[in-house]
Amino acid sequence: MSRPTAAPRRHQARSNRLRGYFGHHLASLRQSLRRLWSDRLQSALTATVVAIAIAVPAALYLTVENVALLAPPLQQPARLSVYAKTAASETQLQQLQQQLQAHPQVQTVSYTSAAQGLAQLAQSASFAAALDGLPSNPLPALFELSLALESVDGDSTALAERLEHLRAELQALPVVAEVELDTLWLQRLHAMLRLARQLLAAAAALLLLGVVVVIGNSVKMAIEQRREEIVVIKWVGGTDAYVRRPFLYAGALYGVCGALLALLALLSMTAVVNVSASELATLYQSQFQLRGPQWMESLLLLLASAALGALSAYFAVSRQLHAITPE
Amino acid sequence: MIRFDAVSKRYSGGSEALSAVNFELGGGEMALLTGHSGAGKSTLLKLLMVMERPSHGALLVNGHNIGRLPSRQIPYYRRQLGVVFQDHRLLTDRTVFDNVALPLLVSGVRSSEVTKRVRAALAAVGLAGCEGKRPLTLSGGEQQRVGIARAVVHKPRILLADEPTGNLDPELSAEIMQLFRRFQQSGVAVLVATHDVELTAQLDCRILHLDHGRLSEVNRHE
Ligand SMILES: Nc1ncnc2c1ncn2[C@@H]1O[C@H](COP(=O)(O)OP(=O)(O)O)[C@@H](O)[C@H]1O
Ligand SMILES: [Mg+2]
Repeated sequence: MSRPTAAPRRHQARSNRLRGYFGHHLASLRQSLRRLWSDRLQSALTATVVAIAIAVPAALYLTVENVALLAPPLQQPARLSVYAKTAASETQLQQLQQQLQAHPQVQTVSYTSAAQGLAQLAQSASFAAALDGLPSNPLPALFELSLALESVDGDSTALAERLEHLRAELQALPVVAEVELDTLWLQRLHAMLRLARQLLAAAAALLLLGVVVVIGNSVKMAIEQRREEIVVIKWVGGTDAYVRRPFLYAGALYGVCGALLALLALLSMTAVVNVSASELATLYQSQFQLRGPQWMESLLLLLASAALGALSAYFAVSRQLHAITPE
Repeated sequence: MIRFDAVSKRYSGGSEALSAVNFELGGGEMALLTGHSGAGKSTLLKLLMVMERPSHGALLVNGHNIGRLPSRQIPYYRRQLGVVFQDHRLLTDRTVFDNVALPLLVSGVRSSEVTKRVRAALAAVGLAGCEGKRPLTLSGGEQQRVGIARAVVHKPRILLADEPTGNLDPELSAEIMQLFRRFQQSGVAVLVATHDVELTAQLDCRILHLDHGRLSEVNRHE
């Protein structure tokens, strides 16, 4: 065989094989679709279970994200208000200021004396008349502290603890009447959101494992039904990849159908909740609307579900193939 | 083309199904593999299909020891074989066309080529025009001929048949054997296992006789 004729022929053979290869992908997809359809009830059941396993963590995710949207962001650096006792003398107040400034966790101290506080109040017309009638100044002196406490890596749990600790420490000082930590509830909320996200990740992992098992089981049953066919395909020289392909498509299709059902459920849930939310929002003159699944998130969910489905099928087929024929 | 070199096969926990089998079969040659039930005929064919591995000895096909063929290469090796079974193993949920096309599809043959070759193979076994039928609507002899069409559609160099006439009456059996003869004449190595003594008497070809796993060639001219 001379070179000039051998090369194009080999090339021709390869391009034929490639066309056959893609042809088989298309045929496998069509075959999988046909089989899912011919076994509608079982397919619908599998897709529904997959949908639930996806929808539950997705709904929790949306809930957490919506609460996070509602929660105002944390102020950085954290702030604290220290009110002195009204009976405190000028020297005691000066001592307290020095003490606060010297504290390692305090960055700046801004002082508002009782008189200054009263003057600020008096500027507001509605209070002016009322204040005139008072025998003495009822306002305490106020120290506003900005703290050298920052959340490390967004770890708001630790920050909340340290703030609480600092508050107790300052509260114990003799001249201090009250320490106010306006943002403590917010710190707590953010800490809880963080915890919720962690729990969510764990729950999602568990449910996704369930998806792998459910899809794997459906594929396993499909393989059992097609045992005869698989044996014949192997006898006539079909590779494992060839046998596997239609099942991988079936797994991916289960994933996609499940994800589509889950998205549909989530969209209708947010739509229903948003109707009552907008009624509530009109009452409170707010604009709040629940955030449903976004385009990008939905696309990602579909792709990830398809991949997860195919992966589950891959495991199931690989395990079954060895059981079917010796080789 | 096929060479058995002192091949033995012992199933795990069983007695020896084949003991030190020696024979050669060239391209364009046909041999009948005879022997009582349990003599080891199917075992010998399974070794050739690499469904089982020999316990001892070398099994050479075109010079390659397929007893040691890596698992990954088994599918590609099997594409040189055509295999016919007693129970024909047709897929009942597909048409005759789809059954016959299977060996071509697994090796990625283009669809226009598939159509051409399936038609030719069905014509060769006398079933032209049956492409669209379901296997279960055919008679036993027709089903077996579909099985043969599937075994030769990809132009294998070796044709193996395990009791291909087991379920058929003598007339149909003779017809099937004539088909094998035709493939032999076109250069294929044909090995047919059968315990049908009558069939053996009719045909003028090599006879390899198995008796409890021991193989001997019957010399018909004595
Ligand atoms: N998978 C197997 N495991 C154990 N023993 C087997 C197996 N297959 C066949 N045998 C034994 O090997 C011997 C030969 O069987 P086989 O090759 O099927 O004979 P034949 O096809 O000539 O009837 C028999 O004794 C049979 O019981
Ligand atoms: Mg047998």
